[in-house]
Amino acid sequence: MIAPRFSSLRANIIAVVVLASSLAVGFFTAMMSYVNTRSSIAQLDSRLATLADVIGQNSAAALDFRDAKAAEEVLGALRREPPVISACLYNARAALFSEYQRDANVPPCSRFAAAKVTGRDGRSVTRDILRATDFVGSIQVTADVRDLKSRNNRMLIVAIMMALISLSMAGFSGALLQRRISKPVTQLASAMNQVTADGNFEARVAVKGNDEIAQLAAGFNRMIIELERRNQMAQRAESKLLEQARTDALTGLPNRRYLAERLERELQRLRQEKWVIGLLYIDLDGFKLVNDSLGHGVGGLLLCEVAKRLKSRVRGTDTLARVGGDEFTVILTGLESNEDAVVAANGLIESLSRSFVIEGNEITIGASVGITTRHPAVNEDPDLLMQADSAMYAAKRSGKNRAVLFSPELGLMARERLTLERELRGAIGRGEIYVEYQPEFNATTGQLVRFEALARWKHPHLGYISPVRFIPIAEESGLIYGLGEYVMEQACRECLAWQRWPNAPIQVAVNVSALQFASEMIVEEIGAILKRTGLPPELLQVELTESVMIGSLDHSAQKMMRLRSLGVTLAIDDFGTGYSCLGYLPELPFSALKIDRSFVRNLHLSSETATMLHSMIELGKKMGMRVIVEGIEEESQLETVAAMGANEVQGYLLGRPSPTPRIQFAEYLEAPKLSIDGELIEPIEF
Amino acid sequence: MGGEVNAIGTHGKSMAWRAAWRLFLAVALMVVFSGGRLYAQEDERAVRAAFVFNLTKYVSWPQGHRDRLVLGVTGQGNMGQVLKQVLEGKLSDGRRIDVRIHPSEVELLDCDVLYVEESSPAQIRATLGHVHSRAVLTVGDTDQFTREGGMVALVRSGDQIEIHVNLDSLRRRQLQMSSRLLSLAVIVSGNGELQ
Repeated sequence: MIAPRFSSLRANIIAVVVLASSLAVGFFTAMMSYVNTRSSIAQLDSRLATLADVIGQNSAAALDFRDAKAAEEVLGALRREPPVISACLYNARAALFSEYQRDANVPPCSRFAAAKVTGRDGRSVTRDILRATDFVGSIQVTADVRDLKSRNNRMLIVAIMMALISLSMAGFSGALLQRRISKPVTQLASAMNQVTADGNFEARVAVKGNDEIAQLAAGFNRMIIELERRNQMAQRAESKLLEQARTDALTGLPNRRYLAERLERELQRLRQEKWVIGLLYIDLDGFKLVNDSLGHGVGGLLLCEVAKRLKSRVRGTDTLARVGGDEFTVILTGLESNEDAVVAANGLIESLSRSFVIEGNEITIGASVGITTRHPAVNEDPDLLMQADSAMYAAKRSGKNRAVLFSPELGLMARERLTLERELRGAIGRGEIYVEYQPEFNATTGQLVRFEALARWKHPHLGYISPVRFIPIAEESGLIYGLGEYVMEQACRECLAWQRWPNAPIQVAVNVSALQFASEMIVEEIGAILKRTGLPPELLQVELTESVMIGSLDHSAQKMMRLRSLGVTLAIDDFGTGYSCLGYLPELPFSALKIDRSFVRNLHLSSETATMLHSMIELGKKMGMRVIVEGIEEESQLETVAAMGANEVQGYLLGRPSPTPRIQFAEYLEAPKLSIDGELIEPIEF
Repeated sequence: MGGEVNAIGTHGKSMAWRAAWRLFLAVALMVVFSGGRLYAQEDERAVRAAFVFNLTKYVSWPQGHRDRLVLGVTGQGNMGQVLKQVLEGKLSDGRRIDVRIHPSEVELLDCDVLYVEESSPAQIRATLGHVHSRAVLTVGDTDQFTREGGMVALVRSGDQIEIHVNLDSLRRRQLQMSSRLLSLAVIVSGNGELQ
């Protein structure tokens, strides 16, 4: 594979060699020929002069004594000199005295010496003949230059032949030289082609000798090796980058990018396959608490453990990926129906419900799973990830630690949720958030003991928005911190105002969400609010849900102790609904237990509910806690609960939440609604 | 004929003059000799005079005059006049020629060259007898002359003049003759026998 440019290199080399040689040989030949001609002519001239002198001297006497015969004999001696074609001897009076001609073709001498003739092919010399100083005559000797010329021509021909031989030798050696130069160059070029066109780094050039070409070849080889090394490095780096780009560094699972690619592939595949694809969006419940309370190190380890458990539960054909901080997704393929996806989701939730032990901390978390599926028959192309995400939020809102299958309504909810979150951000600043207070009474004496502070949101266009809707949003968006602080401060100021009334002291109860409680600064913040407002700590009851126990129990217990040491009382809110694990209760410094309203609401449905409610009241009391029952809406409920021995009661029957509780104080004071033995003395009008 | 003599005598001048002379002589001779052969027309005595003059240049004397060359002429004929006319006062190798016609016996002893013209053998012998002990170049005009003991004879042979030389006579008188002249000459030895 000799490219044209290399053949031209070859031609160039040969041309240069031949040209240089022909210049040298041509110059040499011309010079030799010139010098030779000049010297042979000079030689001839000198020889002719000598001959003329010698013959002249020998003819002097013959001239003196007019002996033509003797002169002829003397001239005849020139026969021995082949180049001499004629000799003319003239006497002192310039008359032709004797002559010699080599052959018949030679022109005769002129009769008088004055007529000096030099033929075209002749070279002639005329010398005076002197005897002592006397002039006795002259002689003209003419030589044939044709002879000389032909000899010179023969020499020239020989020289040209030699030149031709030299040139062909030069051409031959030029070709050899070319092979030495351009062949390695051609090899280099083809090796280079292999590298650039085929990407073949195996290409090498054989190195022979130690000349510049060999050095070039060696340099080329080194360059290729270096290139190969760098190429390998680049490939390794590239594949590592690709790997990194598709992998989550912490857990080693595929990341969101890879998931998207994989999902795309599976959806393509779905065109041929008959099965259903399921997409699970898993968000850990309470992970943020773990992270905030135990640090990111523990959080990371927990995520790894979670990844391990999830991985052990998915099939090889499924794709598990980590798509965010505590969010995982699973692509399930080959399903027969939506039910299969739900079963798989519940299996995963179950696997995560067992507690983890990370660096000696026993950690309990849950998982909310959104499920969406894709059937081959359906033609639309929804964003599956968004659907699963919406479903996951629905799972969170409907109590966490559960799986929710996506439905179109959830999509609407998700949009609504976004709107609310946006509006909520400025709500406190715009004064849309306010606090309502719902009274709680002593179940025995009917005495007003405290108000529970409840956050309310009145939006100028959307109207009243239920806490059930905006509290989860506040928690998810992190707005809960500002909201909680605002509500607590308002409540504390309000409570301080109440103390002027005769029935004081009247407590205020403020809910602290699990997320707020997880904050490292929560104890200091509450202390600061008490200081700012001047409210005696014993008038504040902090109400926590069972979910504060998610994460590290020890850590939570420590914080509670510190709160208690401020003088604040602690209550468990919504007891019986969440992670009801009674085991932790003795270790925590709760002074009150608030039973979830659902028990009272369902009291009339079954006797089992009544039994459970009764048992819980008993349990709380036996553990030295005040038991508060909320959600009292009917007289019968109040009677039953009072009979069961509840310490305090709360509900619409007894008092609705009001933004201005002080107006109702008189009412509450003047007419105790409960009899001492638990019977209703007098119905209350609202 | 005087022009020819002048041509011989005046040679040795500058090249320009020589070239001019050659051109002139060429034209003159072509006019003068256009009718026939040179020797046939030329006065034989003038040629002989030129030969005598030339002879003096090919011969060297053992002693004699350094500044002049005395040429004696004897015998019948008017060769003496010709020689006198042509050669008197000319220089031969720096010696001025002094021609003496019919010299006396005393004058004979002073001669370097003796030309013996048209003489009988007896006269020749008598003449040679007068100079037999001296280094005198004797020149005659017949082959008889050399046979009789003369040194050089300018012998007419057809339209040419041959030079006969008696080497013995030359050696006896210790005269030396150039080999160039000898190569042209007919050598005669003894008292007149051809060799």
